[in-house]
Amino acid sequence: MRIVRPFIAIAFLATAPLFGAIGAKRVYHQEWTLAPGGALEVNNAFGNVEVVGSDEPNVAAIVTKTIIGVDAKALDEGDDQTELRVGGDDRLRIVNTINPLGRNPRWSSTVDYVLRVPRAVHVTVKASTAGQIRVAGVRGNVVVTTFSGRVVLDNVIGAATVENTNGSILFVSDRPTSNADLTSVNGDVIIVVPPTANFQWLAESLRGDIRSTIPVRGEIMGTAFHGNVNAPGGPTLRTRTMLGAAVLLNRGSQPPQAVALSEQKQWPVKMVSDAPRQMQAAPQQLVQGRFDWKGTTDLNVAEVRGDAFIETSAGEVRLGTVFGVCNVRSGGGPLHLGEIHGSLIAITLAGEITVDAARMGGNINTAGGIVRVLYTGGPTALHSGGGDIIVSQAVSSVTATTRSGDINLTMDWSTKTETIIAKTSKGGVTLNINPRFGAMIDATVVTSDPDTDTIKSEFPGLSIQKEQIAGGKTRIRATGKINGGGERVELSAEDGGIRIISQTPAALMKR
Amino acid sequence: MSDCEVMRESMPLLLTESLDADRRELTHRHIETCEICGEEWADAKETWAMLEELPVVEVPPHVKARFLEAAGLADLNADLDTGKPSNVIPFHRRPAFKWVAQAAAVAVMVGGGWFAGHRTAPARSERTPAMVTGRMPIVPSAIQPISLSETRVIDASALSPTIEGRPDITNVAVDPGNGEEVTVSFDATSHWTVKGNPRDKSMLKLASYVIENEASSGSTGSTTIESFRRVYSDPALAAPEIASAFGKVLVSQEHEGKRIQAVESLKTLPPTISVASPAQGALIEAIKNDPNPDVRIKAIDALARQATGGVKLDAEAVNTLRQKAFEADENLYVRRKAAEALSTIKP
Repeated sequence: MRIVRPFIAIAFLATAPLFGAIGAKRVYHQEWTLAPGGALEVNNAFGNVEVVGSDEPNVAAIVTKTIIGVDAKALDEGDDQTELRVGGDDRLRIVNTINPLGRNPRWSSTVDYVLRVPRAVHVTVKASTAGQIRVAGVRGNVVVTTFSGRVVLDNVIGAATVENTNGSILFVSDRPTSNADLTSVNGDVIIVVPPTANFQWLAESLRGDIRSTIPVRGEIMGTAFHGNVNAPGGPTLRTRTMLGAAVLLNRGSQPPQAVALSEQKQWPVKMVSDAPRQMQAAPQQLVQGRFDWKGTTDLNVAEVRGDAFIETSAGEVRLGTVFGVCNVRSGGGPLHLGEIHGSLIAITLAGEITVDAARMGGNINTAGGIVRVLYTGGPTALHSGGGDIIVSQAVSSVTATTRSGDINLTMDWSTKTETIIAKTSKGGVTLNINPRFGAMIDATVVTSDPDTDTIKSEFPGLSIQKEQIAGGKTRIRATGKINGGGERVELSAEDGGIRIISQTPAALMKR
Repeated sequence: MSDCEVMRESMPLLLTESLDADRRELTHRHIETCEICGEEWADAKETWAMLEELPVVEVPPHVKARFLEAAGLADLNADLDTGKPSNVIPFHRRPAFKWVAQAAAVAVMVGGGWFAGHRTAPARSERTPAMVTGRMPIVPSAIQPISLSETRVIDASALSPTIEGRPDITNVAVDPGNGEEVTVSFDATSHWTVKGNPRDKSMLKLASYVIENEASSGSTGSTTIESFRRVYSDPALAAPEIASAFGKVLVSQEHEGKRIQAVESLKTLPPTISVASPAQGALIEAIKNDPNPDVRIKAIDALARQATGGVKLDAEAVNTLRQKAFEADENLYVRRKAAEALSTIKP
């Protein structure tokens, strides 16, 4: 591998001190052989890369190395440690910028490449932090990978693949002829074509932000659009982004002019499943009357003076006080609910649920996460697909089930008897009740460690049976009445113990 | 040679972990039962620890010059200053030397202390009538090592004549032996209270063990994990040992409630601590494969917190987040969190 050394330098500029730092720049002019149909690979962690196809043979390069340092010694060090290496042959030309591992606080360096290549070459660019990576007028395939910075593909004829993490992607084409797969995690992905272009467009935006200035036909399925632009067929342009927008622009139009596919009425776009609406700004802190909200983002409302009906496809929901009924559903994300005066339904497909007070009780359900309820005043059902369930004060009946986690229920000190069902498929159950709580107890532990996982009751009157069951496990069952009997209390634990604890009113009130 | 003498000779080897298993066990048992040897052992360990922490000090040039001059080697000094002379092959520093020096120092200290205390001018005092002049609390004079072991074999004489409290004794087996010696084996539960500075190595070791053990037992380990989280989320107290213990729970625990507590704990530790291996590996593994979405969400949050806390995430962590962001089967919120975490990363 050849090492490009400063002897080719044609300029060295020491700039005046700028905010205590000084800079230096070297510019290299190089030419490397590369056959038409060959491939060029550029690996450059920090700096811009521009690759332009031309009818000239070989690769003509202008490479600019810029060093910023705290003093002249730092500049020299940065210059020495930022190496430019060119290798490969005329079928595959590899251009590398070699940076030391770890950043030096005394200096930083960037290398900008402007490369003129034969049109028919394949181009690969790998970068980390770039201001811009631009590939234009190339007929071969193009692959660009970067962590940040803007990627522009301008009239790339071959297949294109772009993976960007935090930057945007702009794909400009006079006539799309090959497939393109354009992916950015957090940036916008924009296609600019003439209004007559034919292609299939697959667009996905987790925000549901898919827009166009060109009429399209197709289907929206949740966060994705699948359809055609003009005549059916043609190459497939796939634009994917998580937190950005997928935008299709007629040449000459601007992104703000584009309309959301889910909201326009003129074009034949069919809603197969609910399209998430655009990001909505959080509403005002105080909502008078009924509050209906549906979106794809987080929601934080301090007070709703009426009923609240909230649905988010993916977001965290925080509600302070709700004076009416409260119905919150999330496709995923934690729910933090304050004082709910009406009945409560809180469901999330991922994440924990915390409720300060459910005055009328309700239904609280997560597919995975911890459920914590400080107070519930009515019949309450709680379920977790995996996670502990903790109820600090329950006045009425409670049903709690978890696939894997402990259940800890504390009944209100004034509650003399209530139906309680607590079941965990992996974990233990603890029930705190007042010394005069009456119940028909049916508690079962299934365990492979019967010495540790036991049923301990501070109430007399339970008879305990042990039996061996399949799988080398032991079933321990305690049944009987406490305090003369009452409502049914059914407790079930696997690979965990059950404890029924008698707590004085003072202790219960402290919890 | 008395038992105590033999045991003291073994102490340097015990410190360097050079004793075979039988002698190690024998020495430990003796140290636990002999107060004087216990004190000697505590001193030896303290000295060992001090030697470990002492910095390697460069010899000042003027001292070196004087020494070489006195030894008639002044020319060598000039050579050493200018670089390696052609006819000198430098000694390479041997890592084991410090270790041997420590052992030798402890041996000298233990032997010397014993010699000074027992072989020279034995202290004699005349008996005087006992008189109480005041009361003061008993302060332990030295560390009494106690081993928390799964099984122990002890001599009956080592047991206190009165058994304290009422330990629950189960699983009893009695071997009458030959009439001279009877063997009684049993499981005994006892309650321990250990107090100490949370930064002490012994307390960190105990905390790590308790976290891992509580989480693996059927008891409500979530509470234990949460309690330790409260203690060690303080940046002044956070330690890699604790991060590692939480990481092990996150990887190995089947109980999802405990896994959630473990990942929540890692999230609250200072980023520079939680990034320490193997906790970091546990977070990445959890993001990739944990079936519980809340664990995945919190693991992503933990990585994001590291990134915003100035820790540079490695390529595996970044790739894991990228893959998660675009994993079609993944919950949308988890994907979104992964994307948001990526946006906090500065390459």
